[in-house]
Amino acid sequence: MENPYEQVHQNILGRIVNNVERLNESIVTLNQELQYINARNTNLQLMGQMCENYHKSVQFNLDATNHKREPL
Amino acid sequence: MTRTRVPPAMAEDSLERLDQEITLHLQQIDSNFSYCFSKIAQDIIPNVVEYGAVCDQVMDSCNWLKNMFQEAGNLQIDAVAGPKARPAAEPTTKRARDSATDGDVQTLFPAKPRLAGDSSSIVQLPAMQLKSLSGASSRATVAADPMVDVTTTTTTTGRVLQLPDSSDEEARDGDTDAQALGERKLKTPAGGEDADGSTMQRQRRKRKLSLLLQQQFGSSSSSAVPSPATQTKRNTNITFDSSPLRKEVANQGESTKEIGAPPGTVIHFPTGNSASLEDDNDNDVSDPKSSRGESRAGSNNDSTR
Repeated sequence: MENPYEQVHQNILGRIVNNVERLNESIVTLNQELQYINARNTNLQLMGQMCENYHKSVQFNLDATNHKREPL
Repeated sequence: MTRTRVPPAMAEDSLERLDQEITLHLQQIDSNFSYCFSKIAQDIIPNVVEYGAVCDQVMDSCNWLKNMFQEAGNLQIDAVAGPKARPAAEPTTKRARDSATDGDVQTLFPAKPRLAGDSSSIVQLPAMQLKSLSGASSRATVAADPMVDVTTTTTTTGRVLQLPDSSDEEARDGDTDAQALGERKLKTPAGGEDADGSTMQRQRRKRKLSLLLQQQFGSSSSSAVPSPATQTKRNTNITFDSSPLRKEVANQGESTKEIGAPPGTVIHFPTGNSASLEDDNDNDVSDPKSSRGESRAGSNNDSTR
């Protein structure tokens, strides 16, 4: 008498396992993509830092040499 | 035992109810998992991939900046953690920018969406503008002089900026011939590019500036002093005569007479700048005035002549 519910339960558990498996694979894929992108973005980050430094030094030099003009 | 007392109908009902609740919960769990999976697979990953594509486009647009900074500091910028081969280039570029800032700003960033190409053109222009900035008439004559090794990031002077440490001096030392030297001295202050990577170069520039001043206003000798490198080699030559090396030979006798302390009066641009300067200070007894050998030479010349 308990068997039908057990069968139903077993079916549902089987589906759950399949969904979890696909979910794990998709998350692994997502993680890989993010790693790739992060690796490529380090260059951009360096560019940004260099530009920032350049800007700071330019500002400093202009201030030091009194070449700085007011904004237009 | 208590169960036996429960009427069986109620027990069966409770069992039914529990089984159904279990089934319901399991289904909910399954649906939640499938929802998560679909969310991630359908929405998140495509957006992330698109983001990566956009970041790649941005990086492609920024490649010219990367090349510019690389050539400026003679670096190699890799994607990995250790980008800068010579971090000393960065802080010292500030000094280089002191004379070159305006020119650089004007030339290097005429419009920020700049083409990725000719860094050589960048190198060429600031020299022109720097000359205008420096305002020295003698320097203006240098304008036409070749920005030959632009690709190798030479300053307008013909220095090879690739090796900020010693290549400049080596270039100078190698080209002790007269004409280029006189030109270089004119060039070097105007040519202070970002690539000058050290305080040594700053000192060189200062010396050259003082040399130019001397040339214009200084000793009785009319023309430019020839290569400091040659002077350093010979250590005894005051080369304030008009022509560079060629007259040095003739003047060596005079110069040796003139100089009380052999290396002191010489305009040094040695590899070891500070050390040589200190040596000059120590050795030069006749003219204790100037801290550097440059003005000493002028004073010596004046005193002797």
